[in-house]
Amino acid sequence: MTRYLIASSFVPGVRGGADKIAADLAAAMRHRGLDVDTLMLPVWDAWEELPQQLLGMRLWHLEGAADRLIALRTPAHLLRHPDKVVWFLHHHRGAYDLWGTEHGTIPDTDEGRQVRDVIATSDHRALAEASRVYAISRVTAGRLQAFGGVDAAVMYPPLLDPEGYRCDEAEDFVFLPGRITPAKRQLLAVEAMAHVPSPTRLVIAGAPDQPEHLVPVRRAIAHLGLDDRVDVLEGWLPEDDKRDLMARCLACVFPPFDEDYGYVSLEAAHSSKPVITCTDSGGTLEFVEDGVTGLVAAPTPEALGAAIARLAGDRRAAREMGVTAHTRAGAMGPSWDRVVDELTRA
Amino acid sequence: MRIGIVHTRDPFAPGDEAGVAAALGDALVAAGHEAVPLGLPLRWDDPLQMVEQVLAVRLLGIGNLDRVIVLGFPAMCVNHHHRYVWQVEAGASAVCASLPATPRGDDARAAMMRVEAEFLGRAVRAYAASAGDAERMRVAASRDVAVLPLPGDADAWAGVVAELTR
Repeated sequence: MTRYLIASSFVPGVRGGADKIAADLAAAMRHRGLDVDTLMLPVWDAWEELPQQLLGMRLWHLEGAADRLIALRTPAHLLRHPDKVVWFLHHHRGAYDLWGTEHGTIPDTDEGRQVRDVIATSDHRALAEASRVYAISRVTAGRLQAFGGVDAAVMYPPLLDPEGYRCDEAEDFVFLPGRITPAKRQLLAVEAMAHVPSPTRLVIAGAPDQPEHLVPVRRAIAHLGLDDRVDVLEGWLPEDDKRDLMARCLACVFPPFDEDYGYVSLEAAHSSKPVITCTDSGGTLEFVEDGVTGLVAAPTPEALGAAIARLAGDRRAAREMGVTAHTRAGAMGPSWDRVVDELTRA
Repeated sequence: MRIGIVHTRDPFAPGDEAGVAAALGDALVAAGHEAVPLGLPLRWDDPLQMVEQVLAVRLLGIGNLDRVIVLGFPAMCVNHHHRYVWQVEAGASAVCASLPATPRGDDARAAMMRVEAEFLGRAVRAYAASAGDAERMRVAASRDVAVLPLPGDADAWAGVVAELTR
């Protein structure tokens, strides 16, 4: 029987969409009776250490371990294997689209530029080794083309059990689940709440990537006098609790900066809830149509707050957008069967 | 504490270390810690591969952890400032047993033994599951190595966790 090895990376102590994609893909492949194992290799984002970690990826010997390697989160695609397929989640973005921006992670210094060039060179070489490259969104595919001339077919990661989401009567809160980190812009959502009339509340749920990522969020809540209108559920929310909050919310607020994909929009759609996002939220915009399945606002507290207030003041519109999102959800991407077919075909 | 549990495994054939890592992880969580499993792939197909993969272990990025507990060789080579070794599976000598008796094999064996001694010596604490392994490790690294047997039941895991988290 053909052996498939799914390889991805993770930052110890941080859980995110990449873990979910790896776990769901393995489950979908096992459901098809395929022989699959998963390899999760740790990486650390300290930019000075990145070159040595990339070198380390090239030193593992997995040639005889499996018949096909399916690489997901960077830098797993650097692993060597004669039959390698890449389902690309995102670049090390600090070396690419986030270079020189406020979200950048590598300094624009001689050493920083050297690290950036090492990352780009190794990505270019490793992706050229793959027999096929898929991207999880049009945004990611666009970056692959723009930064390396790589043609990648777009293949959205589906939800494993979309029937597990439900829609209850909307209560008077909007919901923002996910990792708490500057690029997800929980701070913007808090600041937006200063422009939303009472009694609408914001519920933020997620684990901070680093403890200090929560500090400005809590500071803004206190500074804006929003203690009774913004709840922060700190920590990794159990799946059932997340689905319950999603079922009961008025809408999901998801304003990240240039998100790669954004499971939240897909989960919200299956919960028949509209999504309020921003014009620069990247992959999320592939699922949210302004005024139809949610609202797309400028990334300012005023505009985002106005969008929340609009749905809070027009429950019927919110409900209708949610229903439309749910209707469209099934057509948003391939089924897991199709994904497995693509990743396992000759 | 956020504690990484580092072990090696052959893909599609996890072996005993993976079972110990899982049980230790459960016991750490029960004691209120966050356990992060780190199962590293190891293939021992030829001597050169062995040396390269030991280097790969050393180059891994494992920041964001308060402590790591490593269960054998070459997992003990991970780069972390607060590294506890609990040798429950093969040491370098056992791992190297399959190396060929050729100059290249001999070089690889010697390198592995030196690496084990080096990283055993640098560990904050070192334990072995058996008295025999503990003695071998003491000689190899010229350091104290306590005996910490594998627990026979769930209750005994609490004692292991207390030792490895002190």
